[in-house]
Amino acid sequence: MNLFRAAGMVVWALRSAAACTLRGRIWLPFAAIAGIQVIAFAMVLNFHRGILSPLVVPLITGFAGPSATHYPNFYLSLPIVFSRLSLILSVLVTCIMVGAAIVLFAQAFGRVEYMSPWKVARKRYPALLIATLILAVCLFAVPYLALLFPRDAMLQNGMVRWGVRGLLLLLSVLVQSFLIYAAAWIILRNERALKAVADSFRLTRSTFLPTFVIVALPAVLLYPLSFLDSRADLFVTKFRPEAVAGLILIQIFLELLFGFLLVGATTRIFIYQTEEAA
Amino acid sequence: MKRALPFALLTLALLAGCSGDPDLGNRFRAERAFWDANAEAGRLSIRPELVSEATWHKVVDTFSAIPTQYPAKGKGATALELRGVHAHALLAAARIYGTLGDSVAMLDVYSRIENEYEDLPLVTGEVAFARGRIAESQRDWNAALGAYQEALTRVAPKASDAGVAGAVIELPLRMARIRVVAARDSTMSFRHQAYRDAETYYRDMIAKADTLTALDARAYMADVAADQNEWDEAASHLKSLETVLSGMKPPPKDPASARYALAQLQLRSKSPAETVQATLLSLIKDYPESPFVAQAELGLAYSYAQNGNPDRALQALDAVSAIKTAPEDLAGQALLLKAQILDRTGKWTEAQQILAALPVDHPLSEAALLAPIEVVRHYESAGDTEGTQAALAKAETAYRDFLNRYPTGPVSILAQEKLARTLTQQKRYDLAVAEFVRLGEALGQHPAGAQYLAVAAQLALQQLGDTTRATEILDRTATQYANRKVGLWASEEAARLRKGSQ
Repeated sequence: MNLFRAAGMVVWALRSAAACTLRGRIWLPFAAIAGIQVIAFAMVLNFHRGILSPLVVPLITGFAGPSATHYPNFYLSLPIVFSRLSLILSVLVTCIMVGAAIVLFAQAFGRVEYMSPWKVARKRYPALLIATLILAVCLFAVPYLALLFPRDAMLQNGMVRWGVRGLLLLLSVLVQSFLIYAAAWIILRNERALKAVADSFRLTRSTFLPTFVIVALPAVLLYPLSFLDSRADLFVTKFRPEAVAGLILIQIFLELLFGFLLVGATTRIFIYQTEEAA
Repeated sequence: MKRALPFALLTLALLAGCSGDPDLGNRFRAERAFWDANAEAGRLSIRPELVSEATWHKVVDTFSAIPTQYPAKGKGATALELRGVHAHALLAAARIYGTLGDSVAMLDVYSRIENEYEDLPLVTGEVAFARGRIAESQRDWNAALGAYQEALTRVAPKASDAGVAGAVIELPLRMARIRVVAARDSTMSFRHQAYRDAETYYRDMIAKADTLTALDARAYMADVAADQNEWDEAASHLKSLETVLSGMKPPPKDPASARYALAQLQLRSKSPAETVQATLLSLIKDYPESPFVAQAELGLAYSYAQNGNPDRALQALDAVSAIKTAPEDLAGQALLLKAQILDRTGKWTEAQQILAALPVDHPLSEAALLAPIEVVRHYESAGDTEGTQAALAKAETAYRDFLNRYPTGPVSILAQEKLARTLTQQKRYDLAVAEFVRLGEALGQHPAGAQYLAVAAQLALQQLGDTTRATEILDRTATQYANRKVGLWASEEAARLRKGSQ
């Protein structure tokens, strides 16, 4: 695919997704994802309250060690604790919402009008869970690749540090790009999880540039916030430690908006490539 | 089945509620309250002179309320940690009482900590350490020795610790020095006896403690040996310390620090100047990247200057100036010494340029404060009365500018002292008395505060002939140092003056 066609496809897919912003029904799955995240976040923030502590403290200590239950260490560990919890939630729960959103977008684009989005998503839950689990494991593993680089060089050289950060961001965007269509294959083509993953790879290969750009856009736009997350120590020392919580709430809200565009745009490309172009 | 689900969930939630750690919530909230109070105290400490006593007392109340607001319920590890937060909050309150000069309230808080938190050796050890410091500053040697011994018994030394565990390593050496001062017996046989415990303690640490602590112990062993004039042994400890540090990758401390300490030891043992110079030169050659190079160059400059070699001294000082990373104070000191050497070699114009630039280039260094006095000294030694007066007026302006511009701290106290002395030299005794009184009050319970108040009283009496003012100052000294010998002396002097004036 040449560069101009790829750029045209990106603009067209994003415009198609943006055109659906006034359809309240499509927002429902995303609002549900954000709602679940906010509830989970509130539970983590209130881990020290009697009824929640037996449920949440093991998660916090498991993700960030026993010192994370102390103040202000808790806020230093909050980004990592919440990102891991979100990853687990995305595998166990929110994959259903993504599935429902794909059906809703497909209907908005004039396809599968007979399908009941939530029923289909629930029915295909096992396959969605496996596909999302594969994506989650890959995304979880990416930051650990930083361990392959000499620690001293990372600490002493800003170029090396930013180079590694850029490489890790690129890798996580690549992983997401190659697995982004798996849910659509499962929901709209009723495929099994592993076949859907393989077909997603194939589809991304044939539409690499537009898919990569659509996945990379939100990742790059959200990167300043992710970077600030990784420097929670700055918030703790310069502002109040609780500022970290505010930052994560902003992130949840922005992910809601970008998630809408990402799912909408990739569903549009999926339908075009599998039905219209064929 | 569907109706049973809410009941099952409710039962689970209740069970979960009951199985939680009862102190976790309070510990978290207490830590937050402690953090907030610390942040507030830190904010107020930026310009303490603008903070009213009532505001400080509010912060003290916040710290003191933490144990009652967030009590420990259980007896587990979390409860113990929570009690640790309580004790540290009370320690913070005691520290503020200390800076406010309320030693009675401070000692009350210490007693409360000792009574209520005796199961926390680290905290009670810190209290014992603080009590030792107070007793030492009051020259109550026996109490100081007792308190330090208690701190040593309770707290295991750890060099990497920024708190009391890191500070207690020095105590055996300090205790040995106190024993010598207290006994007023400086004979070598008594010294050996006084230092025996310290030697045993440090030998034990070298053998058993973790690497960092053992390295610190070796450095203290060198001090112990040097205090007993066992120069060769002290040097051998420092040399072996340097060898150990150089062999470590990366070294936990700069090996050059040991070489620099060796040069200091040679100075102390009155070794020939060539030996000291050779050690410093070897440091510069062997550790060219070390931050100690600047100190070594400055040391060399002092050594050359004292031994009649101003040219090499100036070379060494230029080398300090060339080091961009040299600390502010050290760079300032180098420029001051350069100006002094140039003045002594008849190059006053060059010296004057350096002295004028010093407060601009290194405004927060001690040397910058000494520069105006250096100009006064030059005119005084030249017998130039007019020049001296002009230089004194400039010095006064410089110190007042400094005090207006920078927040209160050790350097501003020094500036205030210089201002008071400049006003005395100008024979403006009225203003000088006021400055000395302000300085004495700013120092709170510090022994130096009493000295400044005494100088103020003396000036008021002898130069102004103002007995009432002198008596007032002495009364103020007696109140500020109520439980000390100096306070008693001030109160007796005030009574004597009152009697004389009647």
